Amino acid sequence: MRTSGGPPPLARAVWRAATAREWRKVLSEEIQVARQSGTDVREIHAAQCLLDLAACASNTSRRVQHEGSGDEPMGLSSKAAVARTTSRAHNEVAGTPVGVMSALTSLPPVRGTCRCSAFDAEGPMYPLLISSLPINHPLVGYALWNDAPHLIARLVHDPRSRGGSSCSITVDWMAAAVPARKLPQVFDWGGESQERLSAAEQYADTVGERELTGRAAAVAAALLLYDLAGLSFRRVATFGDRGDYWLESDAGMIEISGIRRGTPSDVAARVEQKVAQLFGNPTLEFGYVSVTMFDDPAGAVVGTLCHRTRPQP
Amino acid sequence: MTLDPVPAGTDRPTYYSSKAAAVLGLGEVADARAYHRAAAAALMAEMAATHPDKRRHPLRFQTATQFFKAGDYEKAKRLAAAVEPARLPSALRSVLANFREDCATRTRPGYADGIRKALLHCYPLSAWQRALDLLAAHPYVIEPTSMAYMRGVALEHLGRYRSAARCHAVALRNPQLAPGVLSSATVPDRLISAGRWEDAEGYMRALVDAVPHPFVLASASFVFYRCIRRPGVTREARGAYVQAQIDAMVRAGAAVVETPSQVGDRNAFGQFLAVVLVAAAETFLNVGRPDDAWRLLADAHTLDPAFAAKAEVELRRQVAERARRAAERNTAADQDDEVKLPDWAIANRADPMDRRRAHTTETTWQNLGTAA
Repeated sequence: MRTSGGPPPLARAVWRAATAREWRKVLSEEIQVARQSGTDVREIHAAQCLLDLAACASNTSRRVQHEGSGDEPMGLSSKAAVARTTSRAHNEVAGTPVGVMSALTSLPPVRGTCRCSAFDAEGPMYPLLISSLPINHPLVGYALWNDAPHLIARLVHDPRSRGGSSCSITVDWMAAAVPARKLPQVFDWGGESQERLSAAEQYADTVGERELTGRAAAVAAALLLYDLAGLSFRRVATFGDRGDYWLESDAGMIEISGIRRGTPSDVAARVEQKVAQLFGNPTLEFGYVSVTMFDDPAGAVVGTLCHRTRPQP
Repeated sequence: MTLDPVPAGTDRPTYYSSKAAAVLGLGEVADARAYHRAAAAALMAEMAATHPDKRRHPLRFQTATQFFKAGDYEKAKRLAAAVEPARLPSALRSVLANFREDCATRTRPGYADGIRKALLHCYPLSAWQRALDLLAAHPYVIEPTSMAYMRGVALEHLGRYRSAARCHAVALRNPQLAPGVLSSATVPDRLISAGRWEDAEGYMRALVDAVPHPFVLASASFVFYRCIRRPGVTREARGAYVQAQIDAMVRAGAAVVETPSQVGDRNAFGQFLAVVLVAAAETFLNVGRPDDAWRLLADAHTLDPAFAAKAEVELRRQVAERARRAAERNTAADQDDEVKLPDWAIANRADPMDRRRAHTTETTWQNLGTAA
């Protein structure tokens, strides 16, 4: 895999800030350092991105409405913003997002507020970036990133694909023990290279329907799982494990399914079928089922993520 | 080929499998095969290091699927046969049974011939989507460049021109397919004749990007020439098309006249190119580059002497007439006082090439469908 030097040092600092309680203060200090040092072009770009990030994080903070807002560890939503801003900065400098993603992948994961608790009904706070896959799924993210053009191929001709670089979707989030919610969300591939966009266009014509939908659904599931539950894929399951990917502990798995065209009842039936399949694995304590339908009767893209714990005997 | 290094911490079989899918979608069949084989090898190593039979059999099944995806159907069949269904979770047993059936189908002697025949039938029926589906499901039956050619033709008929252009780029790696691939560069001209100006320009630009062969560039110059003459074209757009025509012809260079000999089709390719060169000569005369214009006409003489001579007489007559008018006005030649080839020089001059293209496409398709 290509890499282009190490990460921008400031990006590393941002990551450190993400784990700090007084993260705003840490961010401010890092911005000052970046402004003063200013010898490396990447630093300057990253500093500029940090300003954006601060605004984004501030917005997040208001919406989360934590007590003592501003002193909580940066949430996963902010982590995604870091990924976006730093990879965009790197894009401008090096022309590829891979370098910074590679570097950030080696950094420890941040545990914090995930979007499921931070979200309100106003709309998506930030788009789900294809380029965040290697960051948010350190162990299989590059494989998912390879598959990402399949998702783009599925979405790029969608009427909701705005300007050809993002697509609005509806997410049915069925978390365990809380009422199901419908959330608006956006998949964004704005940072993708022309080469990968061309590949996506060609996949639509050269890859079989089933393969295309299956791989697209896996990428969609990875984006949604991290966004809603703050969890990463750990490794591909072996045949017979009853699911598709093991999650960060061997106690949890996700089973993924894609539907090219269907109805809500198709999705509901598929979810139940997959939940039953998943808990056929006796070692599993909890599981997720992700079903992405790329064309519902209203022509919408619907992502469904269902979280279940093992039923008590 | 050299496999991409696997990023640190990433599961090797998963990464290789995803790479295989990525390159297969681009028509890089040999690379896809190598990645699937690497994934299978990594799974084999994992299998060897796995002791409980309970895990070994599912892993063996998984390895078999990678060999299957690599087109190594015999290997896949042998491995699948060695999987003991009783050692698999019950839900997987029916999947194994289906997989074994798929392996058996693809290792039967008539498998490849059956797919070729099915592809062959697609052409007279114009079943282009069916052909694409067959090629996606059976990527190892047809030789990769030939498969790219078939895909290119099918996509062209379906109007998916950018993908068609990229497929033609892969097909052109095979010199034997050059006549068929290069003749696709005249499709935009036909689209213009059918009034599909946007499609024509889009496809031509995609072809220039993907297949920057001198013949393609020359064909592009002719498409831009026709765009100059498009009814209702604005002055700004016209200027841009003039520049695009000149740029394409300059990029094509003198080597373009060798194309008819290279593809072994002097008549159709030569006649078409002569029109292209004469049209470019007209534009060069109008932008004040007469030396380039007469050089292009000399090239046109080598390809289609009768047509080139007639066109040259006409152009020289118009140039002389323009000079006479300018002398009467006692000014330099007026910018709007342009030479212009009459319709007989342009209209339907691409017909022989078009017939040739249809014939080449059909025979190439048939050959690919019947060749072992």
